[in-house]
Amino acid sequence: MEKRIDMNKLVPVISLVAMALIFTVFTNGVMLSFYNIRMLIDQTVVLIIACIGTVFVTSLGSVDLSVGVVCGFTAVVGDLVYRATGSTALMVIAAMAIGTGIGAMNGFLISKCKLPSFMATLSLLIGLRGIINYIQSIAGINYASPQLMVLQKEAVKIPLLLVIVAVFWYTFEYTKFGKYCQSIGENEIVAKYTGVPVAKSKIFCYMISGFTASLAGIFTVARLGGTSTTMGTNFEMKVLIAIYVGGVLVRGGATARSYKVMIGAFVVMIIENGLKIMGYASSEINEAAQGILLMVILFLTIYFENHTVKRKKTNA
Amino acid sequence: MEHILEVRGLCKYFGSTVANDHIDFDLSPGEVRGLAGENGSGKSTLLQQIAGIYRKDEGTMTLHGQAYDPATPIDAIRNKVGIVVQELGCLSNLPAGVNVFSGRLGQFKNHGILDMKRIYKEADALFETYGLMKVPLHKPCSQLSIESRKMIELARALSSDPDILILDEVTQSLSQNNRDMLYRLMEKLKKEGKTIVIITHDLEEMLELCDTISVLRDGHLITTKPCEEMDTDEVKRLMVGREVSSEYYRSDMEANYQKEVVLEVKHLTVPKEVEDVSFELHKGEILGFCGLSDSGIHEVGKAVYGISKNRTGTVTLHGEASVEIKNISAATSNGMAYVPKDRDGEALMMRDSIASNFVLPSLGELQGKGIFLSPKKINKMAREGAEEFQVKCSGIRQKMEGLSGGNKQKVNLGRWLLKDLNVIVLDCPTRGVDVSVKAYIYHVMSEAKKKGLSMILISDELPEVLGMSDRLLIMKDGKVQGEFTRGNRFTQEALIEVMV
Repeated sequence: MEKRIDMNKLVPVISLVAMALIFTVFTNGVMLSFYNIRMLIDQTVVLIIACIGTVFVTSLGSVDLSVGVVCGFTAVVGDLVYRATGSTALMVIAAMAIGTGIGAMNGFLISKCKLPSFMATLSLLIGLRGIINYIQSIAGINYASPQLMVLQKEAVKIPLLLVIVAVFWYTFEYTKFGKYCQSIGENEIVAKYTGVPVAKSKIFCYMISGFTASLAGIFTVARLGGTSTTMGTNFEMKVLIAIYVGGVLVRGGATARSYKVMIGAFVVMIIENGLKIMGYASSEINEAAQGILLMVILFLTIYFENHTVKRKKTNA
Repeated sequence: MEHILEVRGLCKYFGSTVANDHIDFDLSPGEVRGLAGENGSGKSTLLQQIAGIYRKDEGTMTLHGQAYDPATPIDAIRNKVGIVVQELGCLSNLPAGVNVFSGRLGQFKNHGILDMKRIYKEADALFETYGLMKVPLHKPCSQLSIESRKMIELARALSSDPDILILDEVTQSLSQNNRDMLYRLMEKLKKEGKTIVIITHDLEEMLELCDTISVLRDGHLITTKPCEEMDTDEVKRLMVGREVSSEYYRSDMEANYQKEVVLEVKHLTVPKEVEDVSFELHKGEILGFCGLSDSGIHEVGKAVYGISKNRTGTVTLHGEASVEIKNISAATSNGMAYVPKDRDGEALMMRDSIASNFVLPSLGELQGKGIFLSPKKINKMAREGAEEFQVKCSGIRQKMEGLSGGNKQKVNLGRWLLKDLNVIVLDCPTRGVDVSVKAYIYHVMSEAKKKGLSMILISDELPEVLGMSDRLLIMKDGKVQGEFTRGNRFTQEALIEVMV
């Protein structure tokens, strides 16, 4: 049996190593210092949580642009609940319920009403932001519950992260549901004809995505120490780019894998973090450089995907 | 006679695979040439180089005595070489009429704006001139049947008034009436001195249509001979390189099934497609469906399996308890399966691995009651399946699109037969596969029949339904027109009488 190296699987690993190496060199090793790695992980937690859930939606070949706004919205509403009841537990539960609920709504609109996912979640992105601003204009900005700040402790944060990642990794890679999602992304008609419950699976995917977005919201509040109107702005883009940089293709399907989004999240954060250490904190150079690096990685991902496909096809 | 096309020493490599190995190939005006060979023997590759789809690696081509090396299909069309490819080549979101002239829309420009009216008018005129089946030209291709899309491609190839027309497995997608139309068209073009090259897996058809036949094997051109000197057995022997038995359908000439009714269909109606169809399917029975295009045979398959929307009437599966099949999930969870006609579009995930495709319908069983889907079990099932159904591949991780048509179909069929099924609906199960795979599929069907599996066999090929069915329903305009039972009057002539 001939073994072929699938470049689509290798590119994310190569880009992670390359980025880590490049920035270690350019930052004179500061990048790999104990302190910085701790900070890097700390910064990446929220992104990983959102990515590991959103990949379900990406595997369908769809997008969820509402991740950032759901993240902000659940935080703001959670804050209201906390102020009204004084209970941190209720706040967390409310946030998670709202995130999941919004996801279910997205899923319903997309699977049953046949709205294209891009449009459905884009309108939500705009609309919900308005509601966030409205709530904040009335309620004002508030400090987070002191009990919630526990989440900032590494001894709590890291194990929680691991549990969250484990649950969704497992669900995606080792259950029939995960395979169903991939098959829908590969070819929805095929999935339907082989008995995959397409609509149900789609709704469930968006629920997961909404749920993890709300978790990301809770962690962000703990990290920032409070809510703000801009919370979660452009976060959905960061999530998407992390997923794509990890080697998942926009068409989803079998190219969507849990390990890829983890790698992607780290690549994105290493680039951001590395540029900051190098002193390019100002957005002009920082964002331009980020854009260029991400473009290069995405180009390589697509190039090798097409390249291997072409070679395999012609071997028929 | 002067040759219109001369090919010398043509080579084409795909990686380490030699698809065409120093091929010499000549075509004369007014000649109908058949290309025979197994899947993967290099027939399509050869023709696609002539039609500009692939670029040749070595060798020379001479057209009308001048060097010829088309870089694109458009290039080939300008040189009056037209092709209809095996896999469907239409831009699915563009209207059919526009597809006819795709790549050459420039000629319809009027002050920089496309003259749509003229496009449709000329497309319509084209269909008229060549007597092709009428197709709604304003509809996007994705809404058309495979057959209509083939008509569009045929019109596109004919639009340049080609000197050489290449038809790569076109007849297999057509029903009998359109095949006859195509035969007449070929006759006419031949009289006009045009050259036609066809690939078809139906060797009898090839022998009937062609003047000469070239046989390819493993990338080599074995021989080119006039048809009068050959018969099907001879062609098969040349293709495979050894003697092959000519009998591949069922040998018994009696209907043979158990009394028990497995599937009961009553007053099945789908608006505009199927009208009041009722039948019973027995245990171990192969029930054939045949008819001309738009007779509704394919739609019956979809309706029975619960795919069709707005279906009325009842489909009841009788097992230990009777279940009504209202939708696809009811069908799959009660041991029904469906093998669609459009293999690449509706049955297989082309860019996913063989393993993923193999286990897709069995994921529920593999996971069982637990919440863990074991990758080990998946691999085991896929490996054993690929072995059992003799799928030729480099491993179960290979992507589906790298397989030949016959091997794709083995995966498509095998993955269902691994399961404990009651009923399987087969829509053109041997479309686009070569003789040896065809024989294999019939063998697998016979084995499954012995084990008591009931099958609905829908096919455009009369010999196939005649060869395999116990009973046969003939459809016309969405209605059942007649029923035949395996026995004396089980002949093509008798069927066609009812069909038309």
